[in-house]
Amino acid sequence: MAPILASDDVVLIRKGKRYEIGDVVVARHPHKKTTLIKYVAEVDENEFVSLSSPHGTDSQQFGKVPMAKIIGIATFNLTQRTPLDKESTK
Amino acid sequence: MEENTLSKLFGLNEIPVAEAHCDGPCGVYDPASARIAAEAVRSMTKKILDLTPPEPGDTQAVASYLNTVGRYVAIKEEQAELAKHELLVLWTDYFKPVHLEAYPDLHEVFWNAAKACSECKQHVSTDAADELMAACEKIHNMFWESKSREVNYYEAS
Repeated sequence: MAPILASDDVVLIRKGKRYEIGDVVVARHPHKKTTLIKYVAEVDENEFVSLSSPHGTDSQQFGKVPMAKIIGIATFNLTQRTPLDKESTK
Repeated sequence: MEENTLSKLFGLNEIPVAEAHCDGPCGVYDPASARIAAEAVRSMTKKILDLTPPEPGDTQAVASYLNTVGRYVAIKEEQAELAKHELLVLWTDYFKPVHLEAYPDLHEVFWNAAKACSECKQHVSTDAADELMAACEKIHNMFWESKSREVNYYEAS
């Protein structure tokens, strides 16, 4: 998720109820015991979220993620001191 | 701010980690690994064909020949399987649906490349080995072009 996120960057997240395309979200992996941080690419009518990552693995590899697995929206990269909202990360 | 301080600030023992790139060991992809295994397959194919069969009555010579052929075939088999594995990893893990726009025959190229690996196992054929090498070169070109990088194709042997 370079350049907005670099290895070991610490980010702040907020809980959300709705997720929009372009949001950077932290989510539990749909079938592995790990946590991901990716863009929201799409939210379908059944509340399944497609996540995208420009150069890494994403929903094209691991499929859509049920909304319940999304932990929060990343708002600020503390390490780089940069905001992570949609406007800033376009 | 130090991470220890940060975690304490949020009442955590440690800061949770989220994977931004890939959810496992980071895949560093390079079609060279498939090409190297394919070169080994071609090399072993040639070495087998270059052997001179011994006189049937000469027990020692026959044993020696069978031993050598056996070892060559074992390596050919192993390397063909490795080539197939490396190619399939590129196909399943590196290439994405978006790449089909630029390379509409992508699936077929990989399908035929994998079949060429099998052909090399089943037969001792320089034609099959050459076909596998040609597939590796085509995949090399697709791969680096998809990364917008110019990387020359070369063979080690």
